[in-house]
Amino acid sequence: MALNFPFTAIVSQAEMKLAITLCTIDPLIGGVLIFGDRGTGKSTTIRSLAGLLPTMKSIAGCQYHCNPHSKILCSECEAKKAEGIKLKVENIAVPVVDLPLGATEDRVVGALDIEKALTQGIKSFEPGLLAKANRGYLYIDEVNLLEDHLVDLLIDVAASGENIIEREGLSIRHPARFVLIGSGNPEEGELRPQMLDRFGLSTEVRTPSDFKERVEIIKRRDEFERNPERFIAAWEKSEEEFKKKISKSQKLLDQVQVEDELLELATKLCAHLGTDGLRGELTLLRGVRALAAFEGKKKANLNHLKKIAPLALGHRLRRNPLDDSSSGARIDRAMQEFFATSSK
Amino acid sequence: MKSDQTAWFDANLIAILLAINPRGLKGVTVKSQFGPVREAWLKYLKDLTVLCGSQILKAPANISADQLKGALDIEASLHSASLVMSKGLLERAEGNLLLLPMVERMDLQVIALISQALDEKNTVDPATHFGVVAFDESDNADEAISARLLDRLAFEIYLDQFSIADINESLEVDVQDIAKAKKRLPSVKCSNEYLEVMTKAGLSLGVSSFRANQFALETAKTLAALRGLAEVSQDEVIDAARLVYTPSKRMHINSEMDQADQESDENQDDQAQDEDIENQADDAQRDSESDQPNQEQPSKEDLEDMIVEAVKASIPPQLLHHPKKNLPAGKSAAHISGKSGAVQKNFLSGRPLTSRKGRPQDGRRLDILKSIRAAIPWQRLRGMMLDGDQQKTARSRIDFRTEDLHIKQYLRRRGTVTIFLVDASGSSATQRLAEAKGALEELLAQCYIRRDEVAMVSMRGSKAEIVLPPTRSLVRAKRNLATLPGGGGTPLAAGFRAVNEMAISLERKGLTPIIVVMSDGKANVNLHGVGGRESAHSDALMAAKELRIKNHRLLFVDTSPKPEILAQELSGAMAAQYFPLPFANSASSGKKISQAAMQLANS
Repeated sequence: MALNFPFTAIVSQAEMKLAITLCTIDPLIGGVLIFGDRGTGKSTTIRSLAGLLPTMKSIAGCQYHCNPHSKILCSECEAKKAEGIKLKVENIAVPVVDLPLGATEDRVVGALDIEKALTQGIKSFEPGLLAKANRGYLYIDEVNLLEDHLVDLLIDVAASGENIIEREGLSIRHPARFVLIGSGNPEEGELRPQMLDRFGLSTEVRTPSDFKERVEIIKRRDEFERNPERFIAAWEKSEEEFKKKISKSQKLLDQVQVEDELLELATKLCAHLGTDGLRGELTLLRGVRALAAFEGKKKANLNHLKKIAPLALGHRLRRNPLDDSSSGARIDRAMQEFFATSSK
Repeated sequence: MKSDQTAWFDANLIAILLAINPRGLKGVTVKSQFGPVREAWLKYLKDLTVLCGSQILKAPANISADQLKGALDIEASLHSASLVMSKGLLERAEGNLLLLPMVERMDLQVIALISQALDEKNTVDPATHFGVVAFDESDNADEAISARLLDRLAFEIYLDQFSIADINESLEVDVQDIAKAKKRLPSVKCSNEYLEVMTKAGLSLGVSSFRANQFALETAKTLAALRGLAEVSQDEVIDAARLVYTPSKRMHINSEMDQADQESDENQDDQAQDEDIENQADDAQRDSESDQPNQEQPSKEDLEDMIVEAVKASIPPQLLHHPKKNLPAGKSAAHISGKSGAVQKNFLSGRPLTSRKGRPQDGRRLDILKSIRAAIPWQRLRGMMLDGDQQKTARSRIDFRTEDLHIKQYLRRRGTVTIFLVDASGSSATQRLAEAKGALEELLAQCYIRRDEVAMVSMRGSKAEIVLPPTRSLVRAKRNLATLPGGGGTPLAAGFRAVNEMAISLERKGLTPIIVVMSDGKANVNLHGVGGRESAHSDALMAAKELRIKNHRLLFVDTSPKPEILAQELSGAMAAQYFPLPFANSASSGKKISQAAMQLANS
């Protein structure tokens, strides 16, 4: 297994860490988009996510890690169930799948298993990255540089939660529900608006200019590079604690109440900002809930909303080419206006 | 030439360091044209790597993603009747150095794969590390090594400055020294104090990427190992900073810093920037004075100063200018050969991409190899499906089906690049600039689907400069345009030449340039940078005719209060579409210009 830098050892970058944490608490939030300059620790943070996730129950031997308690199963599990075969359940790690830039369509959606075709003459399907990522996370580095036809494909699958393969004489469909995590540098190209919309939260990272933080980062990184095993062992305790906190928040999540007034406020805020579509409101609601759960509260309050709004709505603003300020600044400004008027 | 000699030794030293520690340092960018100096440096590095028991693998300049990652080996697969994958170059490079020639021309995807491999292989699993030697042969700012890769390599050396006489002597190293250094490296320590100093010096020099800081630390350690020390000392710190904090790691940052504090004024020339850095350094010092008690010998602050000085001193003077900001004004049309129309766009050519399934229609070309490759796995299966008679007849040939057919794909950039040539001179500069900015952003905002790019060249003082290289990124455009200075003379001729060159180089890449000139046509600086209306105008006319020869699509926006004869004359000379635009509100005229430009693009 690859050695990843521990999540809790990452210095500063609070917003990015919060966004990722919230997504692990409630995967329905729909993923995180991280934009930022080179060398700000985007990839490191996302790769460290794997260590944080609790195990999940899955049907043993299923290529798509079907959920035994779910009604939607892949065609194989469905067939087994219909025949009355009892499905075994096992605990597996939540998959975090890397979609490398330049991956082929075959690799992503899956293709004919060439080896079997060649050696045994059998037509069988070799699942791709989308199958692997089912019920887990799909990480796309340089998401803004992804080829167009792959973007189309991802948009479609992310919306339907199902991957349909009709090619090479294969006709297969399997569930593909995953949380999208993307990162990129906006200076290298813009992301398609449709794709942008698939991400629940978005955040921009910058290099910390505080020199003490920087020194600390370099120190830790150096320690890690020198002896990754030891470094990971040293942070194991805090990782465990954080893991516990996450699973506790997950349990609390259902009990968190969001009052109608707050909901109304959220809707008004979205209207005020002029965000496109309803997805903004939904994400906002889920984010608020997850944040409340993370803080151990059973009731969401206005502060939660204020904290989530920039994350959930930043990338949904209509672009105004003549407005120079960043989306974060615009959200802040709009929120100030909004809360000033609504408190009257 | 003493300074060149030390610089050459530095280049030698970098080769040695890389041979010792490819894992931590990851590689070097060599900015140089092909020539004896680069050959000499490469040979030096080659000898070193052989001593270390590894080798340099050269990647072909047009390497594809398949070659990097490894792909199905058809021949071997057919022979053994089982699946044989060829080893990708990345896998073979493990433990070795990977040489990338003409890295500025490499495919974005290839670069991405290499940089991803650098991230993963070199940290996650220590056994698979490799180093990269990237040869950047670009000679202008249009093409440059991808910043993504540049950021991931520790060093950067410029070899064009050397003559053969400079490189007679090279640093000599002992095999045993290197072996010892390799062994010692993992145990070399660096005190926190030095680490802090290095990081802080980097910050005051304007280094923002953490990788650079990390590389400085790693370099210091490797140096210490080479010199037989158990701990990094002051000399190593200074040397490491000098070697790692190269201009491109910093300059890139400077412009960002300007952005960070918006109030920093627009008209910053290089001197002002230098002062700025010094001020920041002073600030940083003051901050730190309370933190740490003074140590023995040179104090922390002194050391930091020394580092900053050392780094500055090591920069070759010609590099002090940002390459993108100071493109030579109107480099003369020397390289424009007589045959016009030589650069023809061919929609079926371009940089090759991976093939896709499809039928060879509309003149698309069949990728035979890929089609065979797709058919091979199926032979047995199809053979079984055929009945006896058919089998006999089909036996000897490959059984093809339409679904096996693959067609070749080329990267031809769709869409256009709209180059704005903006007259930023004199009193009305702000107004015109605002219009141009408006038009440019308007275009950009609509251009996503059309895959268009925009660029901007401004004329000011005695020269034309590229203020915005071709880009599709709204973010970048805004950032570059936010601090666009105005004022000075109107060097129309130089401006025409600059856009002409840019347009030609874009055409060569398969893009369609559209030039939008925004000026009142009143030139007052000639090609030599000398003032004077008459000579300036005749020069401008000449440059305008050069533009005409190249058959570019042009839009001449006359920005004078009423249509100007001079502007009409120039517009006629370059066969541009004339578009008078008296002062109006900048947003709406921006819209008008962008509409006109788009019409031109569609015509």
